[in-house]
Amino acid sequence: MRRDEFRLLRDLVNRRSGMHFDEASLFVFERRLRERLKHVGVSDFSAYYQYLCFHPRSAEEMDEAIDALVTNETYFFREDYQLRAFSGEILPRLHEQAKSANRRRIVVWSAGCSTGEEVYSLAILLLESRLFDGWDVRVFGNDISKRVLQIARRGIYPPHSFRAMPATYDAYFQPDSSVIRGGRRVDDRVRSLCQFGNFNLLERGRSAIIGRVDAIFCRNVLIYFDPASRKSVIDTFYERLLPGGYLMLGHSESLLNVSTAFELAHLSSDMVYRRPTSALSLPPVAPREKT
Amino acid sequence: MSAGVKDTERRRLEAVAMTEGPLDVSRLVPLLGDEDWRVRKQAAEAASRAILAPEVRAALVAGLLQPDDVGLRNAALEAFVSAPPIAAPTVYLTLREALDAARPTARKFVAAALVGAGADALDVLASLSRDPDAMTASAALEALASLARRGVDPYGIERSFTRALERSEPVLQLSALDGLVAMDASVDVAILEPLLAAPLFRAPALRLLARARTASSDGGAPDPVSLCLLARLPGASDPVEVALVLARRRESQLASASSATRDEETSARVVAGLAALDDATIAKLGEAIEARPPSEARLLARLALDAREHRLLPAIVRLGVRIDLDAGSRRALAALGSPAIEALLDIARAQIDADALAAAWALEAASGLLAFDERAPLEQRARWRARVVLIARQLLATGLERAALVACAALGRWGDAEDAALIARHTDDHGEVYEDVAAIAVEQLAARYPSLALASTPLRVGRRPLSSQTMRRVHDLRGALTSDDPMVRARAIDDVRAIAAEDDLELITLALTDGDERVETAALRALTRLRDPRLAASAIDAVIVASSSDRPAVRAEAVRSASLLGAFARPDAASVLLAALSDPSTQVVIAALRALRSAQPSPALDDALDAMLAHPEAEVVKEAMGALPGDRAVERALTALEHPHWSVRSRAAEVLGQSLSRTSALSPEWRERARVGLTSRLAGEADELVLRAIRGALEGAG
Repeated sequence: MRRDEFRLLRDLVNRRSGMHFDEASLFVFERRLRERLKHVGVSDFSAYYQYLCFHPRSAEEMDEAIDALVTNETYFFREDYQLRAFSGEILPRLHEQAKSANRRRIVVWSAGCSTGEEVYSLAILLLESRLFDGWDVRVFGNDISKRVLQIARRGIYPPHSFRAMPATYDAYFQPDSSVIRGGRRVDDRVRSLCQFGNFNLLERGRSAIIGRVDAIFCRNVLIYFDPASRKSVIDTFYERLLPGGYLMLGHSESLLNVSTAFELAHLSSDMVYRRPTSALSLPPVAPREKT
Repeated sequence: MSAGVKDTERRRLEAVAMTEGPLDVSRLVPLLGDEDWRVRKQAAEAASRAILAPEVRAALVAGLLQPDDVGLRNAALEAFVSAPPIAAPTVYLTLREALDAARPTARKFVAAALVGAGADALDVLASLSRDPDAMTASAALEALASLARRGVDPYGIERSFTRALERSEPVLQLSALDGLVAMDASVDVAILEPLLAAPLFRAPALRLLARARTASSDGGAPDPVSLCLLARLPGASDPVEVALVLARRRESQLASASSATRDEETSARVVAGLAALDDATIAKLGEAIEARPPSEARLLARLALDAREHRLLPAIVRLGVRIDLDAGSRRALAALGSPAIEALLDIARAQIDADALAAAWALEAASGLLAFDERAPLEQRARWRARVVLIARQLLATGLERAALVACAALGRWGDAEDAALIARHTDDHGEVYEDVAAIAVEQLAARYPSLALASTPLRVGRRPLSSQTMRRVHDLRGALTSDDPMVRARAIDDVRAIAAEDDLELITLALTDGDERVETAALRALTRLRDPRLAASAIDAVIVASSSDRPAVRAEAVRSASLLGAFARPDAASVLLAALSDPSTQVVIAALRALRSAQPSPALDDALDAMLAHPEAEVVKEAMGALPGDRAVERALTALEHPHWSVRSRAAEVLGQSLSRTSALSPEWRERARVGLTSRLAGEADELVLRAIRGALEGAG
């Protein structure tokens, strides 16, 4: 791949998806997109660029290209310290907030959910908490890639997807080797709480279809966006969150220099973001003492 | 082929048809033309189920268009007509192409087959109903009648039938009249009146007359009230007596042609010698309805209801409290439709303190009309709903059991979540019947407001806990939407017959982000089956978002749905329509042009339509011409008379012909320009079909 070809493709991907790749990504592009060249039947990256711009199937191919460029690796109960905080500290607060607003409903959004492990992990935590028995509980996951959503909707995972999952949650899965040897299928109790959607986080209009949510998980996704796109996505999250709702980012991500609208909430084992509210009558989250 | 072999063949076919997975098309296609009709029928069924396969459609189109084998053609026709709803868009596109390829004599078969394309076919069938070939036009009208029976866009279909009444061919006029009767349509008196003269049309025309509406613009058309109620029969001067005579002689029942046409001469006299009722006469009739013995009062009430005389509704309401109306009157009351809702609600509100039972009767009637007549705009329906709820809450507080029962039923249907507790609170005031009705009402509310069913302390009506049945339906849909098979998800959404609950709406709108075209278009179609006017704004917002999808099929469906939801009456949606008109996809442009029927006319839209005349697709130009009526439309049609494609010129002649018809509101100046344009084109036109269209347009103008 020539450098000018790389820049053309990189900028095109950026324009369509908001994803940002620096100059060092040339080799990633070359390695991951070469398969696509064969697939669409073009001989070089210039022709592939033309295909992405003008071919009647360009939109579908752009999905494939983005899918190839993004690392979709994830697993159940990833970054468990944050999930513990969510389960032990955030869910009780969300429960109280909803009750005080006379709502019996909780919605959690897994933004950039990849193959769905996070969506199902969150649904399991909601069930396990027993706080929302008899409530309308929903976990919505979205991703830009149709391929990963197909896996998410199938709900059958290989053994290595469970490498970080505590054994206490085994009851939420059944053995299913129909498509993967040693695979396990997510139980219908969990699946019935989950729904998936295919859109880019930069598509504000489509994000609005989700409605207002109580918590958003967007972990290891913002790293792919340029600063302007990141700001736009964070603004969308702010709009979608109910007052007092929480935003959880990946351990290496922060809103530094992105948005000041969120407030930082210190939990016992994590720091998360929260959409402020003045109307809540809940006790404020105590800031952690400096040591 | 021997009987034994044939039976084997049938069994094989059955096996082929019932087998999961891909169908053996090479085996199926010859069976569509089998000499045994039973084999053909079964093959048609199998082909219908497999119609999404391109090779099946190709075989069906070939069978439909070939001139020799009637059995094969009927089998192909049957397969198209019985296509599953999910295949409708594909069937539409296939038959649209087939129409262009069809011989002139085969176009009628394509028209008949278009029933299988459902609502998508509405516009092309409307266009075919104006076809110069009477057989094609007749087939299109019959297809439209089939679509009407399936509940597809009654307004649009009614327009096509009404337009066909202006044609000169009796076969078309009769088809149109039959279609209108089947739809129980309300047609202008001015259109119906001339048809009464012809014995062939008299029966259906009389039947329609009793449901007729007056042209409000020029005041020249007779009032149906006059037509039905105040016949100046020889020797009768008292309107009450006249009415009773009419009622007894069944002449009031112009609503049912069978009885009216038993005495055609009298009916014709009724039609010919009528005058409008003044307020004094109405008052007199009202008094009679209240004061006369039940048998006479019922007759008069029926007469007034048949005549759609809203001024007599207060008297009818009070009669309804006193005695049960007869079945015919109840049907006539239901047929009053939404125009009577406002009047009934006024009566209910005015009577709450003076006569709670009369108020309850009026509220019940209004609530029923609101539930079953969906023609009024959603915003209007939302206002009526709010009034129904308000009056029902007041009625519940009166303490009268009969009033409470009506209030409960109305609140169950239209109330808010907090009304469930209100209904439950009154359980101790009344007997078991109230408890039954209240339990049903609370279940209905719980179906719309899941929080009622999911509450940690579930609501109880008397000793009855709320059942979980109402929640099951939502859970079933949710379960299907988690499937990894897009066909299952799309089918689950297609199976949603009506969206009446917030929960359903949310699930369906989320499906707009599904990523699969079939699921997203199914969701857009489902949104048009909205039954609760309060959800309209959210549904329209979602549809507008979908109109910016990167897939043309989704954009086109979004425009269609937005139009059906009445979105284009909203100023913020106008830009969506303008954007769709300049969409690179012809599919989207055509959907937008069709949606213009529900849009507010504007100079920007007219400009966009003018620009469309240069569009490379003839289909787009044809749609653009008929999109918005008025002077500019005539100007566009006059320009299009010079278009290189014959079908565009033919359509232009039709548009001009419509603008010259006597029901058109075109100014005399433009009327003349249309006539001159058509006449001058007549000389230079070489295409026979276009010439026929021009001559037809000029003849129609007289």
